[in-house]
Amino acid sequence: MKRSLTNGLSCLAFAMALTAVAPRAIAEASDGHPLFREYGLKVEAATADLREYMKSNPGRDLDSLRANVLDAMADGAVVGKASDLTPARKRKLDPVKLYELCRKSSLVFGKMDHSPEMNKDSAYTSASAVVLTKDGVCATNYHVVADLVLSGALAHKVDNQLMRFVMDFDGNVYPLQGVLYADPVNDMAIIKVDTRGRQLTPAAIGGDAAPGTTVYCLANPSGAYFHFTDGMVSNCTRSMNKRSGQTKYILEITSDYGGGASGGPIFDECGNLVAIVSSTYSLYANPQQYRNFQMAYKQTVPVFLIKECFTE
Amino acid sequence: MNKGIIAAAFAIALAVPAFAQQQTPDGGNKKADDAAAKMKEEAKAYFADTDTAEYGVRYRLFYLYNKEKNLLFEEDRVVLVRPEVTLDMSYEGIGETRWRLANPNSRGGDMGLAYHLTPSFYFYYPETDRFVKTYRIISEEFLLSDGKSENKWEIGKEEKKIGLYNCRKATCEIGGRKWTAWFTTDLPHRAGPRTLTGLPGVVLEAYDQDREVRWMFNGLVENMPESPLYVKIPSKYTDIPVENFPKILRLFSLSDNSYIQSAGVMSKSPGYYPEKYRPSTGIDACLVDNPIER
Repeated sequence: MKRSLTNGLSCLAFAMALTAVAPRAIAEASDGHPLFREYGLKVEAATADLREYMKSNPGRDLDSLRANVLDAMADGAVVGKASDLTPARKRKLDPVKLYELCRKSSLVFGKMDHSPEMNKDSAYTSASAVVLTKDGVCATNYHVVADLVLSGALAHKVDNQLMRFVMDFDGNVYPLQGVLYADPVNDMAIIKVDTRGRQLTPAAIGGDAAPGTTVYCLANPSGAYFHFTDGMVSNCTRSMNKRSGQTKYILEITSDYGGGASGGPIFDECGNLVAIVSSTYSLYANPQQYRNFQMAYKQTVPVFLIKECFTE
Repeated sequence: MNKGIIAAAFAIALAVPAFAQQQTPDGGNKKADDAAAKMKEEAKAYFADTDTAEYGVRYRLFYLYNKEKNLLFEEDRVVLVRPEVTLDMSYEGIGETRWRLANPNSRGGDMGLAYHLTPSFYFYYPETDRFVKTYRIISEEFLLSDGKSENKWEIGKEEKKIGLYNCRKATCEIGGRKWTAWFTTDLPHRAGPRTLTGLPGVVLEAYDQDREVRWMFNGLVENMPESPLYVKIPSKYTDIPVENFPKILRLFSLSDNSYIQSAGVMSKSPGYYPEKYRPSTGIDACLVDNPIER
């Protein structure tokens, strides 16, 4: 059975965020071990940060984003110049250095909603993303933003949804400004975030990764923020839908991930982006009962589809 | 015009959820029955005061939409005929409804249907040659064009019989293709599929010179009290600028239904029957490299 990987536990995270103490600016505890990071506090801090952002930037909420979602979208698939992307690195790195490098480009994707029952606004995380350009162009999955795009396209209003945002490793929060391109067939979306005067650290863009290529996933499965796993490319497949003629490309990998990792980056040994997470497909010995789990294909979106959105 | 939508929703409501619903002690399926009854009520309200067609002409549309990949699209279409207006729309909903009326205890569907439904609607007013094209995406009715049909048909002498009807050949160039149409005056009024209007009779077969697009006569459709052929002209169009239609169409034609469901766009106005219909954009979901109007 196929599962997309927006966070199934996001409701839990939302509830935790709601029950947290009053929002406050939370810094890393200075007396804590520097290697061990308290990501949950960063998400809590995002709530206060986004509240301030909404106050000082009226009209940049989700309603206005939804109302302008089609205007923000490029007419074709091209959203920028290839020269805006960071060229591929050539030197292999050991996994520790690779993590240090790649975590700067990996993002948590989150939502800020209003709970009418508790009369509170709270941020929570649901998926992942990756930085493509320093001025805030990022990639994630189409299914991460599909509800926003489709409801916006038909000018539907959705109550109690306030913001969408991404958050970097250091806890900096960047509100979503628009969806520049959506590829529903390949589950890929190019988004733009408000960098709030900062420069983001884009991932180096790699080339095609053949089966056997060592890869690393650095995403946010179910609250395990900036979770780093390794594996290899296990297959490169494409399938044409014979009813529609549309072709879907899938880069299968063995690197582990789960719900919440959607849109997260897959890197090669040099730290180049070679794919983004899309979904898993689980095999069971008794598929009717979903019993006796055997294996899960990890299906990702190959980077060439992202590169096609950037031309000279 | 939303008959197809209604019928498809009705069919889906009857067929799909049945597997997951609890059986009542007497073996009935109360939830499904209630849902069907509610849909019938809503449909009745939606189609109140709507005219019905005298009859319909059913076609099988064959369309080589992708020459590069040699992909053929098939859809059952129908042209509903009234003296003052005709409506070309998908036949799938009508066909499904009628199959279920004829097979009340059966599961599945009509194996004779192509099961491709494009929610495009072409209204033609023979007296004035007015031609209106609309398109429905979920609850939004887009007015895509409202103009005049100015086809310059050349009517030949060649004749042939299609079914029981004597037909005459006519040719015309429309939208970059050279069309041949076979029309009959054995049937009342004037009608033709899609843009192939303006002949002094009813078109039963039409194709372009390369036979990449073909409408083949597939029988007449009777207006039945239990399954009326409504010619529903939209009373209101969407406020969304029509310039946005191509982007919207692309998004909805390619998105999984699960995404559309989760976007909450299916229930904008609860109780408004056609909005419960599963979205389908038919040929527009396909990678078309060989447009009908090229």
